[in-house]
Amino acid sequence: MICNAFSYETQSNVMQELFLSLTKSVKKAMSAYTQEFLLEKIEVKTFKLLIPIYMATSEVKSFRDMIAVYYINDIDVDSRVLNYFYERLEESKDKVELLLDKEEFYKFSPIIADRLRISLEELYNELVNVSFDISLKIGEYCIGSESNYNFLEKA
Amino acid sequence: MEVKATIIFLKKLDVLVKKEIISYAQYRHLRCIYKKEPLNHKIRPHKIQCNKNDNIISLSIPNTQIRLLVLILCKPKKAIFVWIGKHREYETIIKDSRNCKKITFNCDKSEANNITSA
Repeated sequence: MICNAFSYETQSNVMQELFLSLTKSVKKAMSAYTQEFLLEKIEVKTFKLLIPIYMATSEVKSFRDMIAVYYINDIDVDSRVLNYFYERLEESKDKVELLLDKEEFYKFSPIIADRLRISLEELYNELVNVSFDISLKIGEYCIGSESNYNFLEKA
Repeated sequence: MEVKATIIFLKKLDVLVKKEIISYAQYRHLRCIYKKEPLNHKIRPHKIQCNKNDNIISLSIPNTQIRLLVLILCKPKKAIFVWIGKHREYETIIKDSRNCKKITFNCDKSEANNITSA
């Protein structure tokens, strides 16, 4: 009988192999699904991370515009205010720089890491530029008149 | 040449020294060279011509990644150290001022000499 050709043992082995193959496929599909799910979660996380970066960048941009328009009228008062701003900006800049150099940062998927890096770099650039604007503005104001020139320190 | 510095510049210098990125000796070495020979190639003086201000020169502290920006007044000869920072920051500043070019600067000639690449 044909049935004899497929003994119970053989059938069982085939079933076992099939089942193993099926399990592998399901496992694979599940893993892909899980990965996608995790990615989605990270996307949300990234978005949550990106929002404060974007907000900080636009804040720094408007801060830069403000510095371009206002200051300096009174070197004594304004330079103290600008010094304070400068110190805070430098602190933030150092923090952003540290984040940019962190290796953990690149554990994210390349797309997410790229998005984070680009937005952080933009924030970093804005912080550097506004610090430079402050430095230059004070320098220009001091070189402009003799009385303000005396406000400078010995190099 | 009379050389002065802003308070912000000196504060940033202190921070860089504290972080051991440069030493005061290295800074003093640059200042010494600059006072004697502002065009000494060791400190790589470059004029940075921007829309904002065309009287800025950049200097490098020898054997470091530290750059300085100096505001120049030719008549009377005055120099103010306004900015100090790492090369990364310096590049950011240069890139931002889109029309910036680096050219060697000579107060006596009062004009640009050789165009060098960035």
